[in-house]
Amino acid sequence: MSLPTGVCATTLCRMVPGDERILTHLRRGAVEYCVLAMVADEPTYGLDIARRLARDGILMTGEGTLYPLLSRLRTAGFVETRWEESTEGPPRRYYAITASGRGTLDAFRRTWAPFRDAVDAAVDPQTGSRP
Amino acid sequence: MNQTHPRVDAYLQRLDTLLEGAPPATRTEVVAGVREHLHDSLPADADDEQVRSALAGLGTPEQIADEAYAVGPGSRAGAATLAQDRRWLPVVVMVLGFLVLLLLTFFAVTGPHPVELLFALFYPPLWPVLAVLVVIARGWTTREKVVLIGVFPAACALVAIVAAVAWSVNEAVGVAASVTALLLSVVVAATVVVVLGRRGLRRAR
Repeated sequence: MSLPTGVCATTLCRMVPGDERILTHLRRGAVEYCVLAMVADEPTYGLDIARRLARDGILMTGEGTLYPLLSRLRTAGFVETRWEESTEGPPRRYYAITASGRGTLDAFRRTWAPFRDAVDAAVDPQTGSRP
Repeated sequence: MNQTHPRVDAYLQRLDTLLEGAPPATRTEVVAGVREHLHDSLPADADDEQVRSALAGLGTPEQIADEAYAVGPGSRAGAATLAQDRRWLPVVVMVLGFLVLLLLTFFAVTGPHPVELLFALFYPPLWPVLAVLVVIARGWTTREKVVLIGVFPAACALVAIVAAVAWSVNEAVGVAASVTALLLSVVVAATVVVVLGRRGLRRAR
């Protein structure tokens, strides 16, 4: 599989094989919240979310994996969809956060900072610091 | 991208096959999302290289399917689908729409006065029910909803106005003009119902 344009020269090509496996595990717990954050301010359509997530190859490598993730978020009631007219072609499906999704995102934001600091402190005690 | 491309068709077919074991709603939603993604990212006259690049950016169908079968924080197996997303909703709207058109035809043929054509909308109140369902449905854009709701009163109004004007001339003109207006209104409205109904059905999960 060839990589998305612009990705190879930046991030992925500097990785050793184990990096991708670690990222896969880390993404599992965080990317869905990143998607919630991207639709928190205004409804956004799939291609736009995918491009932003896959920009540096860290949060997402294949843009297509966004769609199962969006389906899960919608099934869980965290996002809702609606169709809006597009000036560039046929109507687009837009994704917007729900009240339930916003509550989940707020909870993640409260949890994420201390978790990140704790991981920093654990894996690199020289520079990491516990809050 | 307005036209399909063999590579895109093969990619979507492969993805659809890989998702056979997923819940039907997930399968439909994922394939539709990827199709819309390609539609948005490729120009109308995309060449083979552009299609290859867009598909490479998506990742392989296997990667997408793996993600669909994964259990993540947003998972909630068996979660109820919202009524607004149900596939039956566009079907009910289409059935109600055809019933309204049947009533319009009935009242146009039997009604002694054009104003009685309004009965086709409110007696029984099929059109208000249709309007509520269209408003809460998520498978149509705002413009499509306006058209789908508005086509019925527009059809009634056209037949009523043409009949009122034509009958004031003489009976022969009245009959010919009324029948023409009725046929035209019913055909246009039925076409709108079918086209938008199928579109809503395709978008429903």
